[in-house]
Amino acid sequence: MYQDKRRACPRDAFMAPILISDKLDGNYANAIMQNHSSSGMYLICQQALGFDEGVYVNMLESARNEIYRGFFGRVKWCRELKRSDENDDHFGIGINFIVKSHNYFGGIGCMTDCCCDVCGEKTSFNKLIRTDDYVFQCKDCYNALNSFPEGNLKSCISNYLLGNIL
Amino acid sequence: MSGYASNIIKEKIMAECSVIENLMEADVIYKDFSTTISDGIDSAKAIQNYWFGLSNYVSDFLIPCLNASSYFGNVEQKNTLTYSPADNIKSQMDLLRFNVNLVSRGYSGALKFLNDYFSKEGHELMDAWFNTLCKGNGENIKTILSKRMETLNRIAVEYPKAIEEVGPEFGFHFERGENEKVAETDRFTLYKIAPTDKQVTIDDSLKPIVIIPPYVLGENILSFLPHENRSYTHAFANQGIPTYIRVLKSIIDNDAVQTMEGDNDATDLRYFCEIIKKKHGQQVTLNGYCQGGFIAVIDLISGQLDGLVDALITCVSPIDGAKCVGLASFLKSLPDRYNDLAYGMKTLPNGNMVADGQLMSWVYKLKSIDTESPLVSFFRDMIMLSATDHTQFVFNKTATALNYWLRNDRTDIPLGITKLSFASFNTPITKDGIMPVKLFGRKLNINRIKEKKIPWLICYGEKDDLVEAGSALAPLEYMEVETTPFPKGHVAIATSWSNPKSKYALHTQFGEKKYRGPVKFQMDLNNKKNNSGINNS
Repeated sequence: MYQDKRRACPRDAFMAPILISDKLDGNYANAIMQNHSSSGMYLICQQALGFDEGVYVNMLESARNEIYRGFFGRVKWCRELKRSDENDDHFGIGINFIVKSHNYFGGIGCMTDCCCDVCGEKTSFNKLIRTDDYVFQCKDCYNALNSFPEGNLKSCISNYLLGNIL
Repeated sequence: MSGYASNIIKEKIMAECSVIENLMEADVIYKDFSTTISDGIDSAKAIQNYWFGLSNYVSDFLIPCLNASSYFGNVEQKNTLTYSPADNIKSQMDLLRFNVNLVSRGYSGALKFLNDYFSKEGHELMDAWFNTLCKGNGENIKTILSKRMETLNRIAVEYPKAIEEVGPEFGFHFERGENEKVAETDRFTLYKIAPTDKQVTIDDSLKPIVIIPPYVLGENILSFLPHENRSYTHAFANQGIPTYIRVLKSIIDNDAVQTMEGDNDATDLRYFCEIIKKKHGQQVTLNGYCQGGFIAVIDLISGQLDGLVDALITCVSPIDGAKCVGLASFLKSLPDRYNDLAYGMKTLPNGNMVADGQLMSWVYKLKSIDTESPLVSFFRDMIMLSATDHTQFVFNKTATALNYWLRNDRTDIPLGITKLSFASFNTPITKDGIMPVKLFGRKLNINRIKEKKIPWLICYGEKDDLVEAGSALAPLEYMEVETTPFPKGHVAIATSWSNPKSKYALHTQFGEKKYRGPVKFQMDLNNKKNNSGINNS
């Protein structure tokens, strides 16, 4: 870790893959953290972000002794970088942390294992089908249950899957 | 006839009757005696599994029913003498009408369910026969029947085993000593929850929270599958928040629990909050889940927690039970004479009376008898266990853990506490905010929370049909309260959304209106305090 005299917090030049998004909707974009401190992070990604824009960041790998996995911060600066052949990420972005979380931020099914509510099979969030009642089903279960006619049977199963049991 | 000639005739017959050949190929017409015997044994096993599986579901339903009959008989022995013969006959006729209505609802519900089930099964079997006879590409009849036999084996033999096996992963397991026992009274034990994330340590300078579980089905649902990151309580602890949970002692082993009243609940909670406040130097957030939320609210407005609690979270809590349309209208449909707690009471060997926990849950089943009858539950689970045909079949851990909870955590409830809930489900909060129950002989007014300016977050399930939104959100009629709707039903906050990786993770904000999850609410309370530099200890 080095200490630039102009900086309030020492930087740790730990590079790691991260996921970023401006909303908690599960649509995360890949980015690379170049370095970080206790108050912020420098990352490079493919798209430009506006000043003061809110960004959710989820770590894909834990940074050494860091226990934080999710961050929410605001963009302090954004600069276009020189493109290189091996790296298409060409915007450098400095973020100031607002929230540091021990857990990932929600809506990150794209990076984590999720379960089918019916059979419990672990699969990626993108492969699950969401019903109107917010029950998540894998394709097989969705097709199997969909083959039953609408009525008592379906509403009974749906009520069970919704967690209305006592 | 020569062998050559007979072969030609055989080939001719086979060519003309390719159907028979197909049946033989599909093992429907047996080529040898051993297949006949093995298939016969498999069929016998399947029939045995069917009846064994179904009888498990039926007995789960019938045992509370028989208990209820016994309590009914005991109470009626006394009541019959105190009512006039005309009243007795009228009440019993009303009860008969009620029962007939219940049975017909259950019967027609099961018929509709089975109709849906067998219409689909019928199509599948027809297709399978067609495939078998005409050598189609789809599954033949033998494959389909083998799958059904496998499902029956799962539901009768393997599923109950899987439910028992999930036990070590489900719940708190305080006996392991992983969570610090902070204090206890004759009735409750207070535990401080250790994070399951080993990289996290509790920050004692943060605002502490006390979680009040429901009496009805205990605390373990709030630690659903902690090592799979699905635990309501650990969602707080894993953020470094000092998280406490108040756990009721065993009602069977503790007289003090059997005879406790609402007043004892409030005084014990006060004692715990005093300890926590002293330890952390700041007031506590009170978080009641389900029935625990109702208890937390009445404890708070009784004044016992003044100066100790400065924030409130209730999750899927029936604050005004009378607004639980389903259960309240079910209770109202009972003949007046039988809408009495006495019919659900059991007498313990020491003479103390407690509410039968199994019976209380059974009432919920009766309320929804059209979808909760044993036959429907059996076929529902059959469908769920056969929905997919994974080669390596694994039981859904959520379903097994939920079943483990329902089978093992149902406990009897102190009479004094049951009276509070019973009153709440039968009598609404008045327009002036007077609750239908009293503590310490005093009337309780919900407006006291507004007067005390206590921030309150109400979390509720959008599709909850046990504690409907109207009941959970009843306080909105009296004050401004922050609300957070969660998709799905009653236990989903604890079982689905407690996963920090889920779409509605408790430590996040979500939805168009940026609803705050309960953990986020708690974190923000802490940040607010830190920013303002106020120490209200």
